[in-house]
Amino acid sequence: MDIGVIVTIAGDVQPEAENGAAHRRGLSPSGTTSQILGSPVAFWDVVGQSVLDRTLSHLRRSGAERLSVIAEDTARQSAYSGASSDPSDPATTFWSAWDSVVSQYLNEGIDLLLLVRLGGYVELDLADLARFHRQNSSLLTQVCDAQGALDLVLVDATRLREGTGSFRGRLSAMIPSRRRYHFNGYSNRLATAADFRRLVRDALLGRCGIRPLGVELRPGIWIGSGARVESSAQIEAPAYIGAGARVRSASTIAGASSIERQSEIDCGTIVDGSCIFPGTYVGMGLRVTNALVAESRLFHLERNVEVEMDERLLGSTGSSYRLVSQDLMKRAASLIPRNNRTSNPDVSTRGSQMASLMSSLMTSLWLGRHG
Amino acid sequence: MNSSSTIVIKLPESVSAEQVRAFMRKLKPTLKLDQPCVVVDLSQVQRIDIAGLDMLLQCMVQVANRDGSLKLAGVSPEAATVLELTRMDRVFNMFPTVSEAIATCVEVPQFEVVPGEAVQQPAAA
Repeated sequence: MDIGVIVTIAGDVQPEAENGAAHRRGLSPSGTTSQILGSPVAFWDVVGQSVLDRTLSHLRRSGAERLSVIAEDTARQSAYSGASSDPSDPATTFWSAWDSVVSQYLNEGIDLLLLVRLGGYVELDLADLARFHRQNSSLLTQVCDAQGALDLVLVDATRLREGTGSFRGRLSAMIPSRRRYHFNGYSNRLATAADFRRLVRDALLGRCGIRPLGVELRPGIWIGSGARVESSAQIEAPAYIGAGARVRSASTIAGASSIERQSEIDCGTIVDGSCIFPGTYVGMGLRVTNALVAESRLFHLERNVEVEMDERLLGSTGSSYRLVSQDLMKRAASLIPRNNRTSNPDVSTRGSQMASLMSSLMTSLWLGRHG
Repeated sequence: MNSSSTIVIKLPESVSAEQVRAFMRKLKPTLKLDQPCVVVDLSQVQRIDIAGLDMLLQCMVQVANRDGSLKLAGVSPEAATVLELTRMDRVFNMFPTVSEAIATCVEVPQFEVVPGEAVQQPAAA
């Protein structure tokens, strides 16, 4: 059976006509744009590979040979292998690209058209879905999990080919007679940052089909190619250190954390229960807990707040800010008066406070392990 | 000899190098007193950079030199995240509200919190 797949990256595209917005009107139940830290969730890496690439790989393994990717935000539009639109043309709109791909698929003789909107991550059993679709003589089958409908629809290509009007119009006409396919496999809607964190954790704990991209050096510890972990760094399983990433001395990676490719964790920093996105530099002596970090942006999962950090603390691995940060370390050390550096904490209020301050500062950002 | 004194300083949404000089200038008279109690209200802070953190550290050192104390109050989730990241949440005494922070000061003079005013100096020291 020939199945064509169109994967749509959720964005901000607006419906252009009353009957031309199948995704918005009936087939896109989540209604989220699925952005985390400024980018669509589909583009962020999950233990070495993006949600998009993992979805495409899964679909290919399930037997789908024709795969196209269209971003709703046309600035990000790209086409993968299989049928293609022209990704280099900035004037191409989402819907014209979508129509073009559908038309091409139909001309090539597909039997079924699978529409996937990312969004979420679903380990779909494509063969079983196709079987259900056929057995029930369905025109349009919507995949549902325990929480309800997902952004996954299988459409009968014959009916789509034979109808009149636009492809979206024909698709919309099928919605009232849709059948629901109840899916029991792994799914994660990735509607929130906490969902994303859960996906990474599930991958590291083997709760889903995602396998970290790299070598499992010790049980539960995966290392990507070219990653460097300095000898005094402590890595607690499960953990992922991506390709080309660097974990410097005296740092700790714990709580099912992922350090994605080309990231760097500087000396003495603790990363606990967090995801460090690709190309992120995490400065010296910091403590990152329950957070997603993409360069200078940090989303704290417990506080549900996103903070733009000083780039001398969190930034890009390509940035030169770290040199400035080291200068500040020395300056911070100079803040403590010399005659108080050896004060006895039991002697006086002033001495006690200075001793407490010294002690705390020694574990804080600027003094760290190398102060 | 001056008696102890409490000062409440409310930081703006964004705390960076530009605010540091004004902050330290406003604080200067209090730092001449013995046992000053400085309460820094962080409830409005959305963003604080290294200069802002440095300012809090400097303030803490100078207050400690006068046997006083520095307290952070009403710390916003954003500011709390920065303090946790830099491990400074262990350095400072933090209180849910300004009133609770003031209540822990040794001597509490009469003062009034005026909305929109960055610094409230107690009427008498």
